[in-house]
Amino acid sequence: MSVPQDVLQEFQPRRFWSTRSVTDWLWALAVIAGGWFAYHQYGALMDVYEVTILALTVPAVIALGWAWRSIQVLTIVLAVLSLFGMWLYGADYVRGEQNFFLKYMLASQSAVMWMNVLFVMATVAYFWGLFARSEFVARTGTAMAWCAINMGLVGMMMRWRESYLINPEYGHIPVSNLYEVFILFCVIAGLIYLFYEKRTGTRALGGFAMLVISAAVGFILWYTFDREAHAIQPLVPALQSYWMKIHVPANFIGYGAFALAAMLGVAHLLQQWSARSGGLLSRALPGEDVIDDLMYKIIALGFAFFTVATILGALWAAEAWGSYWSWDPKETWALIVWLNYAAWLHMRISKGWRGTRMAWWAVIGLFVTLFAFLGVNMFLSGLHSYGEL
Amino acid sequence: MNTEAITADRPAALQPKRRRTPVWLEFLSSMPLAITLLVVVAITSIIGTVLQQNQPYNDYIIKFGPFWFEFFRALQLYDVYHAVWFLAILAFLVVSTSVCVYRNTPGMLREMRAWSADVQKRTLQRMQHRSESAATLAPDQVLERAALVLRAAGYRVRTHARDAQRLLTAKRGSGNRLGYIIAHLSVVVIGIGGLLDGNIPLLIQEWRGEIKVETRNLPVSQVPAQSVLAADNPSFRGRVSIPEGSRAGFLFLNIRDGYLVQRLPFQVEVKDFRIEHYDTGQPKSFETDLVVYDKDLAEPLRQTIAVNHPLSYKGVTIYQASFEDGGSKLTARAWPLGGELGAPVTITGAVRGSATEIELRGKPYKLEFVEFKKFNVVDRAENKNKPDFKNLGPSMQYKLRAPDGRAVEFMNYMSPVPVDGRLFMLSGTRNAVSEEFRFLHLPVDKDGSLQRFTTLVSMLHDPARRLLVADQIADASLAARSEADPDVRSKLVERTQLLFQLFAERGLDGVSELIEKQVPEAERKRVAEAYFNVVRLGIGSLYRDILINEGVDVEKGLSEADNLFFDDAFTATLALANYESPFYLQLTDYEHVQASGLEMTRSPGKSIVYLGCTGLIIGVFMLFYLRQRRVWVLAEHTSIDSRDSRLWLAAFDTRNSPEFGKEFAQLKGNIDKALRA
Repeated sequence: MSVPQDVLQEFQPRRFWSTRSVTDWLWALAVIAGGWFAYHQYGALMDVYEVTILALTVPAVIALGWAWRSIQVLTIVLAVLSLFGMWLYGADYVRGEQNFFLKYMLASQSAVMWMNVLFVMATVAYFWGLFARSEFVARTGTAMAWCAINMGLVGMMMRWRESYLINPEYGHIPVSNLYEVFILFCVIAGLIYLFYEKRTGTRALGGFAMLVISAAVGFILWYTFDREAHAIQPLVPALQSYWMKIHVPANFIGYGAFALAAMLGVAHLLQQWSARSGGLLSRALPGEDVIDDLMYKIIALGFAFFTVATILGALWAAEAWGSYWSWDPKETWALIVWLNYAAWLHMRISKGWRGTRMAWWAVIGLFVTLFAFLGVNMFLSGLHSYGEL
Repeated sequence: MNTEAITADRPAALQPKRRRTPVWLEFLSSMPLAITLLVVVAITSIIGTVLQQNQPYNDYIIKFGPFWFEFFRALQLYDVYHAVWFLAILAFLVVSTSVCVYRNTPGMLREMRAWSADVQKRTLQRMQHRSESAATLAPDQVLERAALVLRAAGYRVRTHARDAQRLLTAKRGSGNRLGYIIAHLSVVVIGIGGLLDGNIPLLIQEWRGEIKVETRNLPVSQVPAQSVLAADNPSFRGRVSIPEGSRAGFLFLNIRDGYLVQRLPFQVEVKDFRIEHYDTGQPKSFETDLVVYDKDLAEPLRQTIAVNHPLSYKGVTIYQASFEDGGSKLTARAWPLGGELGAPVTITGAVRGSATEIELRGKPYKLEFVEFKKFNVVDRAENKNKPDFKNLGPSMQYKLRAPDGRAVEFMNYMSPVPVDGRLFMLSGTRNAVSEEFRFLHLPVDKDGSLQRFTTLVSMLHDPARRLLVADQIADASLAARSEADPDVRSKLVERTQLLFQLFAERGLDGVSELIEKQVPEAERKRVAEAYFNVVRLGIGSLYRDILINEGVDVEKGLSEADNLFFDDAFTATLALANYESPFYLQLTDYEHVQASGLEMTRSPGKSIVYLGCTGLIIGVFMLFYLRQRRVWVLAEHTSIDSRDSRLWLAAFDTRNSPEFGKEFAQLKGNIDKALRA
């Protein structure tokens, strides 16, 4: 018919694979090589489930890098620093105290300290940028947040390696106690924030997001200096399972998202309060609709992953404790958190609730989440007692 | 649960067609009810996390007092997650969700399939995302190019001819609706699976009087048939503790303040139970070697289970849940710490076995072994930062029960324990399980034995010895004086002897009482010091005799070790008065028997729950990440004789998300571009 060829060309449905650039394929190759290297080096330590997890991680990381290019840079820097750190260590844990790079930069303790400092600096930069209306300063905040995440991940990779260096029997992925999962929380919450920063194109909410991460940093510092909790301990038998590798990170996507949603709720409420008095915040922050929509998206993300995490937890419980659901306090509080956000989402989607009350609800939700995450371990006893303070 | 809010710009064509529904169905599927139920389940769930569940009823009585105990019991708060009212709320939530799915699914499926070709120009002109423009192409060509653009953007497209008008309808993300259906249906499936594995059948049987919860502590063979469940019971979860070398074909299901016995379709034997430790002393693994005997098996099934590695057989899954002592056989030696037992006596028994009778102070006492531990790994670090884990070796706990039933519990180690560089035999005592043990430290001699110390104590308890020492002390103290009044001497001897007797029988307390009775207040402090020194001198004298007996040349002075031993021994004699046993029981030999705590479940609902879980994950992701969007392009000739067209473009996003504005603008730009080309 009469459709010109060039129009045909431009709007011809294109196959997904044909839209991938050379960099995309290089990235995919690099990740596959990395996965193969990990398998080649450490495959002997893995059971069939762990090999499966590694195999599935490869396409997941490739897809993540394709969807979000910054992840490619992050992964490559992380890989280089971790390999450098491991090379410096060799097979001797003591070198962590002797080698300059390890002692001040790459050993897990130091890397985590760098993460702590960088997150606090990012918080300052974001708020500075917000109040001074300086995009440049806010961009520094973004850069520092990326560096903080990178150092946090380096810290986790090194800690993973260090646990094997101290004693091969101790070796485990560092997501087994409160100290370790707080690092995970900072990293994941930071990544979720940065993803939506890119999507919305505004850095005005960065300070609020970094504030909750800085609170977690405060906890890590107190936990390190007051409780000496950073010492690497062997795993109790109940935790010796491949499930830990997927259950815990999935959970922290949920916790991280809910914490961010609460901070957006705070931003929302402050903006309204500021708008009434004609304050600076009402002009500096993005519109109510933007915050509102972002809050919904982040809660939806958190809810989806919290659902996955709770189900993974149930599968693990069925294997370790003999029942997929035992009404253990941690399980029950996970259900309470889940029900709370389920109710929030129903109100938002079906009843069309928006604005102040949803913002308040998201803030209260953080306290419910916080109790499930920390309160249960502090005040209640049960099967999850290895997370004790 | 009605789903999306009907927004003003939503075309009438998309609104689900409603039939008249009964009021009760309307109520059951209403959103306020659903939200209320979600919140009620959340809040009532808190109860069971705050109030510790399934504790012995006595603990609750102590905690709440008789009135509130009964009140909470009536509300079934001690096992709230299995309470009838809680299950009813859960069931109500499941019913409400099912009705909601039932009511909304047909409409949603219709909506997913529909192309909504009956939309009018008026409707398009009222939508939030819309535009109107002209093109120098015929309507058919307009649609053809628009279709190209929309398909490239991932839409499914269909064109319709209506008289002179040409209509294109496009849609994307219809799976969102399917996500709703799958997610909510999955919640119902999980609910049904959970109820299948729950305690409802038991509740019904109990209510009908077919079974009765047993509260007495009986051997399994004597439990009445009413409290025994047959092996074909489809769903159960219970525990049994099996000592090494024994087998069992039953489980205990704990229910409220009692239990039921669940017969198994096979027998399980525990061959061996092992705990491995890390070098820090923390447990590394718990493992049990199991043998399953069943007439359907040609060969008994042998398998090792561990935490995180259960065994499944005949639909029953066997888990490593706990461990305890399975009746270790202990041999112990009683060292006399006073006059009554002359020589060491050997006592044998089994942990939690029958008690041994001992006559003490003329009365029959009972000795019961209650616990045995092969390893006692403790952190002996002086500096908190550097843990220093040491294994103190085996220990045992036993109770010494007086004829009136009162018991003191002891905890003694098998080997001497190093404290401040010296070795001691430790003995902890406590009067109630809730208390911490208070430890007595008894010094051991070169051979690590209590021989030297117990000899010292028995000499102190020997009146003839005491007289001898009193004489020596009198001689020594009077030798300094010029005149020797025999009267003074005999009084001095008598007084010293009394002092020793009181000290041997009641310790320093006895000496203090004597002082309080006989010495004026102003003098007491000085006299107490003097008496203390006399006692120390006396015991020192006894100690010298022991050393001489051992062949030590005491004239040359004592070695440092012997001096330290005396200090420790003297301190120990001071503490002995408060030690509630006239002997020290040293564990000398043991035969370790452990019992493995096995949890066994049969849960037919498990696969249903897992199916529901899979559905829930898929459904939730579809719900959140598939946005349902529709686009319409309506084109008609500008006038009857014209080749050109007017076109109306409109679009609609069920979530009404802000980014759809951008998406629409981009679609519109691309369509314009395609039309101009």
